[in-house]
Amino acid sequence: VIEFLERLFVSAAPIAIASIGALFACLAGVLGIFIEGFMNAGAFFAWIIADRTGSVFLSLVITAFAAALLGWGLARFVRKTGANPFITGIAVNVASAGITDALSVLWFGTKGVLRSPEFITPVYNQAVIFSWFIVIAAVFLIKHTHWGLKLRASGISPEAAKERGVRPGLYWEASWAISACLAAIAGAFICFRVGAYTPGGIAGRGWISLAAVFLGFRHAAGVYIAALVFGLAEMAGRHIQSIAGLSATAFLGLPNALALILYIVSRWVMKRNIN
Amino acid sequence: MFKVPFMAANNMKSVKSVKIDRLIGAAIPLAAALAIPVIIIFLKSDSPLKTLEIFFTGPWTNRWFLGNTLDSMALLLTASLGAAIAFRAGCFNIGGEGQIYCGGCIAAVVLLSGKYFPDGLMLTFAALAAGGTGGLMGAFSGLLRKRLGASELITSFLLAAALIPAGDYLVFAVLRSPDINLLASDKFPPGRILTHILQPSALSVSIFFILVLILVFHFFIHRTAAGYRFRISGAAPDLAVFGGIDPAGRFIPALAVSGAVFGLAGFFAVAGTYGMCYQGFSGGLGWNGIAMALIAANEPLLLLPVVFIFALINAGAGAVMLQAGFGFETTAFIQAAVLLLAALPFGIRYLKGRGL
Repeated sequence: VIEFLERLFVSAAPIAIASIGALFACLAGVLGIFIEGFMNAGAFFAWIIADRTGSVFLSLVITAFAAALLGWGLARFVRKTGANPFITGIAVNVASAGITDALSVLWFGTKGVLRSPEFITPVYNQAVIFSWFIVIAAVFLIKHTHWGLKLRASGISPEAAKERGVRPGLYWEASWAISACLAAIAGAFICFRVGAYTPGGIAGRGWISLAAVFLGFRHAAGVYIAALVFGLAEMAGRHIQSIAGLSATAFLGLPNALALILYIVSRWVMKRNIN
Repeated sequence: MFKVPFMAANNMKSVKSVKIDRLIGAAIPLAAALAIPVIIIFLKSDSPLKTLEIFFTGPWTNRWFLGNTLDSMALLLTASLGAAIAFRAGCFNIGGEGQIYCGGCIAAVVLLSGKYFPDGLMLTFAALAAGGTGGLMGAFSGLLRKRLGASELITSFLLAAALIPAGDYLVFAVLRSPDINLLASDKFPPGRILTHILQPSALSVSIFFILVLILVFHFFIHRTAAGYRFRISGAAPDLAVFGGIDPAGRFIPALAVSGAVFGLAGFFAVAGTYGMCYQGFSGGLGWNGIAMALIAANEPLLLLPVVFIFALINAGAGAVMLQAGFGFETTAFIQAAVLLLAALPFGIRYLKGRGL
């Protein structure tokens, strides 16, 4: 049982971290479509930095800081120019895959998996502990601080928040910075888990994280439970694949199918409650 | 004499200005996409001038190259039209990759069955099945958006991501030919492959179908009342309500048609380009289609030059790879250039607004 729980927590950790990031953006009123793109870019650059410096910690810090800065810049750009945040998010995702592929060919001469003999040993437990820490911090920040209250107010009604002296735009920018930062860290942990960077290795986890936000009814603790469910689905998909081999290919879509079903259920429940 | 009212004149000016912004917005990513391979060739190639010559003239040197370039253009045009239809209605169909793949797989099942039915009939059925599969996938997201307010961004992606492995399974377990060592189906019977033009290239009559579809969509959104309602619901839903249009009414038809066109791209790929179905044949076509639609600002006629230039860049890279043995990744550049698209028109308007 303990081994099973351990594997479940490891499997759910990146989704949980990214989902908490997506939660901040969602609470600020704008869906963080860019999560998948930042996860992919985070995984790629974290691998490169870790490979060059030999330090996972340094790699995580640099990746997180750069992603936060980029996320903040992106939000500022969207806010100032009136660009559509969803189209910008899609563009980030498409560009992230393109840029990482292009740089991989340019720097390493391959579009395939990036490995290195000197690469650090895979990281499991740190990701789990970090995910717990992030969930607890998010619960505290969102529920028990003025900052969290203002963030939620900015998302629910920016006009009302303005009336009360809150500047919703700043909260939106901060939430995107947090989202991008956590998404990049989540991507880095996926990369460190296998000890290599795999193109397409994020495999839709960014989108699953978005679904987890709704499945968790936009509460940090609920979002973590949703991440555990998706972690379980991921494990089940891998298990079936390892038993049945290629003939179980169809089950690889299991986490996405489950995310879709649960997302629909959560929307249905929400709509019923509103009615 | 008829005089243009002041407001109308102002509006006409702003429409012209938006069109110019769109053109600039499309021209810069195109220029960037052209410039990047040129710079890389200069930096990395041993004989840059010779390689550059191959890059620019390669796609035109023979029928095979030219035909393949036009064929990849046809596929990309179909995918980008699928994306543009949804974007134009203010919806986001990002499940295009899965809709192409599943549509193509289902088309392959149809084309490999019904031995005793006429080939033309089976080709028609296959096209309908592929379009229907993509259309149903799109319509499902539209229905969820309309009924439950579920974001079609999330549902279209997740549905596609869930069904792509099912398509893989179909190829592996049902379509796979025992005679081929690949995860691929048998070649379709000759009568069930779209007529090829410019042989021996992969170019088929699919290019004519997609050109007609683009003209139809252009006519629909710019010349019909229904198209106007469609456009206004997407561009300004609040204004649409004010004008007595229900903007929520567009979700299902827009996403269904968008999905159907993506599905059709799958049909064109298997029945036209390859004459068979193999695992992963869509290879990023859906994502590239989204990128092209964004660069062309979802304007159907603007898709033609945008896709043509990118198809040429890809073909040029292919020619360089074949003739000079110098390889670099161009699809990635195409995708990367999309960021400029998202940023540029808005940036220009912002700077103009500040008088810069």
